[in-house]
Amino acid sequence: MVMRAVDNSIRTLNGCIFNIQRYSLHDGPGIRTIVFLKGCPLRCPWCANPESQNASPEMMGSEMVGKVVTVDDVIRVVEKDSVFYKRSGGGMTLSGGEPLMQPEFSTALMTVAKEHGFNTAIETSGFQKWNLMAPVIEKTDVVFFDIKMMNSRRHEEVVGAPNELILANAEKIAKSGRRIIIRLPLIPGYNDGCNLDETAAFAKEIGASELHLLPYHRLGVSKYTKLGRTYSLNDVVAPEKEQVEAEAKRLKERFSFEVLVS
Amino acid sequence: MTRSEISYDESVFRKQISPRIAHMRKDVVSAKPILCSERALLVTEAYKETENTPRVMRRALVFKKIMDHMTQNIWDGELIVGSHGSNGRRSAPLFPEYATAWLEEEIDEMLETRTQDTFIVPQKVKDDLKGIFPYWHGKTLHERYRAMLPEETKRVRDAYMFTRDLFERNGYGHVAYDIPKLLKVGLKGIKEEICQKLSELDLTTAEDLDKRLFYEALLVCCDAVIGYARRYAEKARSLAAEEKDAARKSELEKIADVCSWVPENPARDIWDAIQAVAFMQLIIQTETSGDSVSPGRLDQYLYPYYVKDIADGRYTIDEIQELLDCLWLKFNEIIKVQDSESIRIHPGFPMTPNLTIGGQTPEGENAVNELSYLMLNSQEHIRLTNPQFTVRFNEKTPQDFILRVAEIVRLGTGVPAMFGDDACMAAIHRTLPDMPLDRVRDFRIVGCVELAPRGFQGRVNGGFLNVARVVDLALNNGVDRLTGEQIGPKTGNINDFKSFDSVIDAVKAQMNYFVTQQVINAAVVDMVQRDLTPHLFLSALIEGCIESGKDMTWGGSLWGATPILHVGMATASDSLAAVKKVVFDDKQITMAELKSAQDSDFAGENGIKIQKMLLDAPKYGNDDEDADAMVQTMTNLTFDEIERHKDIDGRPYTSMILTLGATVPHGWKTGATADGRKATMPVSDSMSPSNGADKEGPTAVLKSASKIDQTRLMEGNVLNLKFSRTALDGDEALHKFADLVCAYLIDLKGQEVQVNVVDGATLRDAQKHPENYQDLVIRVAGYSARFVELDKELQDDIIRRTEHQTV
Repeated sequence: MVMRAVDNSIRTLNGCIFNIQRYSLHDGPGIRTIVFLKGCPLRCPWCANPESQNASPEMMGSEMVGKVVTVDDVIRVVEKDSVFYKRSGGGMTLSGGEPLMQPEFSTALMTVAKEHGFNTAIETSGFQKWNLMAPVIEKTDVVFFDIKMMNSRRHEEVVGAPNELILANAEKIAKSGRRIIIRLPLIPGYNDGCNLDETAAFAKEIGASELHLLPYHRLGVSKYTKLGRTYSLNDVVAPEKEQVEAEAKRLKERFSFEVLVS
Repeated sequence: MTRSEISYDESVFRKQISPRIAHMRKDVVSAKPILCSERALLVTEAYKETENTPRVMRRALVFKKIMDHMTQNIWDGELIVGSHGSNGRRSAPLFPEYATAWLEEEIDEMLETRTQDTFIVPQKVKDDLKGIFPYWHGKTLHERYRAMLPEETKRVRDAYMFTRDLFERNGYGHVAYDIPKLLKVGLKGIKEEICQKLSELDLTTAEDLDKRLFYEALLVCCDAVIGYARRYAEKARSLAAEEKDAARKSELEKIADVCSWVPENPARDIWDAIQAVAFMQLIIQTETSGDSVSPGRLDQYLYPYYVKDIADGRYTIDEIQELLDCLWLKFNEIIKVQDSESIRIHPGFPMTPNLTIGGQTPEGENAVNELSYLMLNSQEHIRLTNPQFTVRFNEKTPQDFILRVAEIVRLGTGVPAMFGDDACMAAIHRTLPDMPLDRVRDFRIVGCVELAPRGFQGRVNGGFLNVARVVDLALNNGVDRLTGEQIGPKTGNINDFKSFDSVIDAVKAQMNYFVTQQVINAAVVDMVQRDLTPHLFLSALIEGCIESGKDMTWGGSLWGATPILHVGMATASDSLAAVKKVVFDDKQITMAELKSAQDSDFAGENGIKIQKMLLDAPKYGNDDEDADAMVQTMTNLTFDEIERHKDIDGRPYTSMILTLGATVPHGWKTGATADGRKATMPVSDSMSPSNGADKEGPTAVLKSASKIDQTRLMEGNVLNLKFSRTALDGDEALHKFADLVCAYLIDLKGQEVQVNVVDGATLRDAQKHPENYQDLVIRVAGYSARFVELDKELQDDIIRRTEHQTV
């Protein structure tokens, strides 16, 4: 029997992306291309890519952000670096926005990428129904899974949705044996303190492979102005590197679990 | 992916710099370049004494005079000796037989005050030189060349369409001489070979009488070199006699022993061999002013000595490391002075003694050995501009070696340059299909990036041709856009161009004309070199010369070729891509509108609008199909015109895509170009995309470059990538960097890549001129980004970080 090739119809699926970045090195193994999908269900006030939040194209200053493309359009760019993926064990990373906001598009991208033999990774907030998420994850080698806060009420207050679904999804991914790395964007005054310990305990308990701390930075501040929005975290001060390193070390020792600073 | 076994034991082969070397390095770094008149005076005296001597023998006697009298120094702490003049450690000798007119002009002020490559010129040197200038009037190589140059060629040359400054005023150099043979048989063995050939001559023929002169001249040269080394031995012996420190005394005695043995006799061990290399580097560059004298595959030919010395317990690894470091320092002492026109193209005192390590053996096996690692240590210890340092990679190269190379690259000296064996060998094979494979595999790099298989002497540098300007002349009916002069043929009024094909036809016709003129210019230079300045001693060390009885300037080497260097390749190609898109495909403007925008240097509202259209057209370096198809068209038509010709030895013309500093002076002469570049701005560098044109990162640049038919670049190309130090921090980044390079060199069959690791000053310039730094990738906490896309605040932070880490 001949193996059925990828269904051609999935190659013509449309999705909205706002950037494709080649030669990315820090979002999975090897040399990678990151595809940034537009649209996110959460509204984290520290978001460094606010232009990624709305699902449709929009103006940022004089620049148009986002365009509707087909799976084929994306893959044509991604496959340009095949030779580099092959040499380095790299491939494609879906990021956003929240790639799972466009589950069919993401599934199709991952499916075709796997067809090409690329390593696949996703950066996700995990906020999506499991039945829509599972087909994407099935085609994903490495999942970078953000957990903003462990307390659901606080989670809802700050980013606009409770976290039960997110935590349940993380657990399902981990239980399925897939490599999952929990990421915590470390925002002073929001999710430091005991939230760190709770997150580490959770990551270890579900069987995640690592916990990465992503220290707060103010890279995206100027974009808010260009989008005509207000940046609400003006009082938050970026933590000292040494301080974050020390926290990582403390957690690592307390939980005997791999904790890194990205 | 198959990799050979990892062989590198860090604890044994990673070495720290020794106190002796650190001290000597300080001396070399603090020495200022200074002129020395000694060689000029000796040469003048020798020429005066030999008025009636046949020319070949005359050159030999001139050489002997220098060898017999040149000042010899042994600097504090040295183990390997040989110095180049009488005015200290970076003393530049002078070569009046090649050219004096420029020196007369520049001696009083210019050499000391120009913006780069300045020299101290002591009053005594000025007086000495002024005393000999009158003798040389009308006798130099440069004057002879100018007198012989046909008027038409002179007109084009003086319009600066092409330049070949180096060889119009200097010797050739640019060769990897047969040092392995010298180490094996010594000059004694070479002399025996010459005597044998002499005894076989038929002296009833003119041809053999010529050969007799040549052989006898070689014998004089070999004896002169033996005498020079013996003189060094005497010097060391007399210093040893006075030396109070027992340890240094025994070192000086050892130096005396080595110098009394090599290069006359076969090297007994690695010390002898390294000293012989140092002597040859120095002496070859004293015979003529040619630079880029290459010591070749040092890790290969020294290896048998290394193995034996370690097995016999003669030297320790630490001692061998120190000897190599001494040699690395020696490379930095040899220095020469060039005229102000030449240094625009070759700024920064480039003597480019290129040393190659790694790669494969003549049998095709992995060639990396313990010495390869020790030589990487030497680079780490010395970190100065010389040697020009090359590593060769192929599928069998051990991964740990590649990573160690990446570490050295990260130090930020821009070396080693990394070469892919497959691509280089394919290019050699294409130009020299009859060359046996073992010779091809044994290639080394000469000068900057020139591929030199064993037995090959390239007449490297047939001159720099401004191809960006060639394209522009096709878009202006042969009229120079800046001066209004008709310097090229009339290839058609642009308003009559009905399709893009007519543009290409005009480019071909212009290219045909200028390449031909350039070949005439090169032929005249080569004829004069042949007549006035045979490179005799060097020829004794070039395979084929003794066998054929011909000097290297007469085509004596086994194989040869001459390259023309394309300058402004991306500017040229992007100009064509823009014309195709904006005028012919999208019909946004007419040819006439394009011309008036270019003529006005994009002045006025309309000019700016047209410039923007041109800048928005596809550009080489982005892995863009249209732009890359155009670079193929452009390079192929240039290759075609060049490969039509043969040099004066009947050997092929080939190409090299390398610009050095030529982008700037050639840019000055080039009006606004159709890619949107403003008049007099630099044209594009080497194989790199135009400044700021590449926006898709390094993988896209490498992909674009790989689409150029590199098998037609027998004399190499340069591809620059820029990284910040932080972008290469940590093991993971280093691995991925190594994979990036190997994907290009091994999988995409690229010839060469070299990496600039950027410093704070560059980053600050990138803030001021972001348009020039589009490709600059830097590491931000946890991820990489393009520097110019970051906030000022963060940029400042990265600059601070970068500077902190360079300290």
